[in-house]
Amino acid sequence: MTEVLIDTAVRGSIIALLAVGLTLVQGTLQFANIAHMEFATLGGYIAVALTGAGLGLLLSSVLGVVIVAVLAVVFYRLLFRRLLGSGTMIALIGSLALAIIIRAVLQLVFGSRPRYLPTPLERGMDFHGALITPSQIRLICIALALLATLAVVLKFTSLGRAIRAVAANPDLADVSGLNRKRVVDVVWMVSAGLAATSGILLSIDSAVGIELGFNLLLPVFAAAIVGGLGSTLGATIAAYALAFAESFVLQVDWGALAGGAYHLEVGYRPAVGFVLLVVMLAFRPQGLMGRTVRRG
Amino acid sequence: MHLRRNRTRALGLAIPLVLALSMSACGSDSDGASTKKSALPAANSSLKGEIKIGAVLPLTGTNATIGKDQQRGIELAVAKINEGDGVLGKKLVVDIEDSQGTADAAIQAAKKLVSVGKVSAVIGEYSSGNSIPMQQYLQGQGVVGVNPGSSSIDLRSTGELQFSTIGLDDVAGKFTADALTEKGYKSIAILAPNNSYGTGIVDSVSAAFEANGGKVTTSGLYTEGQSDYRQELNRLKDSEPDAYVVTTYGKDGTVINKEIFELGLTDKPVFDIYMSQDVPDADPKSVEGRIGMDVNSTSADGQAYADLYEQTYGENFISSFNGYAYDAVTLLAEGIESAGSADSAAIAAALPEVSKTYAGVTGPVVLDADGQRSEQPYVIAEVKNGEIVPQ
Amino acid sequence: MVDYLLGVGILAAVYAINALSLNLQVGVTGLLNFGQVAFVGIGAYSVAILDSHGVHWAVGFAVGGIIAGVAGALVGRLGRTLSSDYWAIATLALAELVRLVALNQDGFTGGAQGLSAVAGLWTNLSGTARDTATFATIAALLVVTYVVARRVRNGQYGRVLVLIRENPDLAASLRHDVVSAKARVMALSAVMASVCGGFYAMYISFIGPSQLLPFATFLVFTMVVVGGLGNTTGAVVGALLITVLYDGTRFVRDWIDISADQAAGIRILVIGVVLLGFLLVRTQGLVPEKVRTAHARR
Repeated sequence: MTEVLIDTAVRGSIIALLAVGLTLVQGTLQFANIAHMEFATLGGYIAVALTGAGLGLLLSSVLGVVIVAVLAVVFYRLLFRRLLGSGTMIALIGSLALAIIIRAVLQLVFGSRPRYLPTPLERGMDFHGALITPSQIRLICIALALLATLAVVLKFTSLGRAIRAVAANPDLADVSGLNRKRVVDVVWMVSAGLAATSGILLSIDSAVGIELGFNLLLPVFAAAIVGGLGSTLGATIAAYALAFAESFVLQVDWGALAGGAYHLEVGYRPAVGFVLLVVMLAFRPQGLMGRTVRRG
Repeated sequence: MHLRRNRTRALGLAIPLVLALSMSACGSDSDGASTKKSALPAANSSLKGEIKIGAVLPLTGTNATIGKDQQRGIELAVAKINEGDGVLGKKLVVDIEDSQGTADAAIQAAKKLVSVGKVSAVIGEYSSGNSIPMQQYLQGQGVVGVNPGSSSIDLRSTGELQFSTIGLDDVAGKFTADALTEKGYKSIAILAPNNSYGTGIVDSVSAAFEANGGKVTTSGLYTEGQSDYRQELNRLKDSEPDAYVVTTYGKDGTVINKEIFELGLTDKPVFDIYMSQDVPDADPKSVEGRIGMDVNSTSADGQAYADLYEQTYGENFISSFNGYAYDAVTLLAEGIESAGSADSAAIAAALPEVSKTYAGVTGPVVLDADGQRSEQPYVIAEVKNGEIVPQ
Repeated sequence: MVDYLLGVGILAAVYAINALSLNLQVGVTGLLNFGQVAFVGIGAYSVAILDSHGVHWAVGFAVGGIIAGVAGALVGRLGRTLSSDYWAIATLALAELVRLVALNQDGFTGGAQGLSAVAGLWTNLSGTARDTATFATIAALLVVTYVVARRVRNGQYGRVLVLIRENPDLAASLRHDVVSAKARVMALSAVMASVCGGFYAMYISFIGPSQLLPFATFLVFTMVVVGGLGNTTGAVVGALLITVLYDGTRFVRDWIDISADQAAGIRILVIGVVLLGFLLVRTQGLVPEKVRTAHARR
């Protein structure tokens, strides 16, 4: 069972970092940014390129996060603002196109083989019968620290209140004289920065490949949707819950229920997220902690 | 106003392109001619005209390293042939297309070779899941196909114009199981990719190992292209076998080997089937001391070939698959020479006869009644100081 | 060369049927189906699975059409409480689920290896004659699909669908059954897509999970957007242009000296840039829909 918990903590952290950003952008701009996951891939590759250029791992990672955050604002100002002017449907397809472009560019530059960050290979430590590597412990700690910081910032600072106001009701926020433009810029930077962090942490734990972000698309959306529109706390809880569910269904001996031994094929792991997503959308589209979803 | 809007929109569009160009300037260390050490010999200038055959290789995708290596084998064979007398007094040209590692792209590539290039024979591919449909397509078009890398036993039944220069899994599975039994392992757990190669190797190893009286505690098939395989590996570990048997492709192999080490599976023997597929890509520390089997490419002619390869590309074999591609080209060239024409049916008729006396760089390639390689030398090897050393 | 052009023509016609189907959903009704490839896959697998058991292809098409139609109607109903972007993600998830099942149920679908040696059309012919006959068949199928799609679009039903897209609340208040209208258009489109999938499997003689990747859907999205969202003729135009462009970039390595890895990247990049470029600069596509133009002028 410890195996399940470690698995949940690692994968849940990766998903949570992406899902909170996705839900913030969705809350402020009312559109689902499919390209959000590519910020994670970009972060991983930029860190690879910078370490390749001789910078240290920590410096490369921080720079990677900053570069992605800035890029995200550029993308927002030059692409998404215009796309959103043509409607959310166009923006949604546009974010898909951007995701394809980012992946193609990364493939052009880095090739289709996975890349690695220069981290030493470490044997896992025994933790109540399961193994956990130092880089995984770091991953979990950094993710939890960032999620906690985000929660504090959103809850207690004036900037955080402004973000929550815009996310809760964009029209009202306009009326009440908040500088909506600035708030949206900050939301993009923060969410892309968190996504890049997630991508870099994952790259350190295993490797960065072209499909890194895309493979996370559905679990992250599942977490954001299950958590409820615009709710970062909901997204975080849902991310860990989803990771637990994914790991749990694979560990359970389903055959024991019928007398035999049958474990679900590991290949079905992503299906857990899909099923959860579709069931949630069909029966409780407002999510765990969300308001009602617009119809449209 | 309208014009200005359009212009700024176009600016937004230009950004990804500029980004692409500027980034490719700083990071283009991928592959290409940079690793080449000495140039291939020039073609014999007395050759008139061309004889064209095709090749469909996984130059991109999961198995790009293998595809690149197969391409090298083809290059070396073509250079060797054209340095001499060519084929039927003509220069041999091999048109290489990318399969992108997928079946539909492989068939599309073969279609282009057959309909535009008018080739009479096509070499390829590497994954069984791509080679099988491609050979079936070639058979339907009346074109000869030579498989230099796939080992699924389903390739036996793709048709009388279809051949293999590599031994299939029934041969490899038996060899592996016998080696495992000989090492004294009573139980094994197997991990293989979820594709036709993987399912084929799991079936053939399991059947042969159980026939030897052994027990297969669990067999897992992993989905390619994931960033994490701990679930799969933990299942292997939890089944507590005497030894783990793994076979992976390079791209996934790096992550899998890393996690095999991290999860402590290396405390027990790890036996690697076709170890040159994944060991060269792995962190050396993670595969140190690993045992495994691979095809034996060190025949008498093989050593000279290995030297030529190293001189040309400045490194040792990056996989064991260049040799089969080399043999595929050379065998086809001899088949065309013997048939006296580049007609597909004539080549197919000549190949089995030619193969009886053909001395390949991977050893003898005697084709059986199904057009499959009947003899395949394998070797048991071990990783020492990061190098694969035969035991 | 004739054979190759016929091959591209067949592919273009297959894609055109696919694009007509997607246009009915995305363009006309505003249903952002990111899982279109699942319907194509259902058709292709039905034909291939039944063929491997010796059943005639016509039965395969019928079975595939029924399964896809029912699936389409259910997916359309799933939309009743969802905002359109969430629905889009849900369709993507469902399509991935279909792919996972195809990948893991190997006894049934051939697993990762897929099903090969699917019997083609016109097996009594060979060479160019066979390709010509195959092309004529798919072209006829395209014409039928086009006529159906056009009639739907321009009829009373089509006007309801456009109203649902533009103003669902108004459509509901005018006593149109929005859920049923969506379910029906999804069912019809799904049948079209499954026919195109069945034909594709027969033509290429193979179907495998690698053909059900989401990129296959995005390629068709590009066709519909380039042609003009909501315009039936546009969908066909877009499909022809993008097929030629996408297949043409296969030759890119013949012109410029780059590694194959980069060539593959360029092919995908071209599609992404074309899609984004049209969305930014010419959202209405090459052949604009009449309603949309009216809106723009207003």
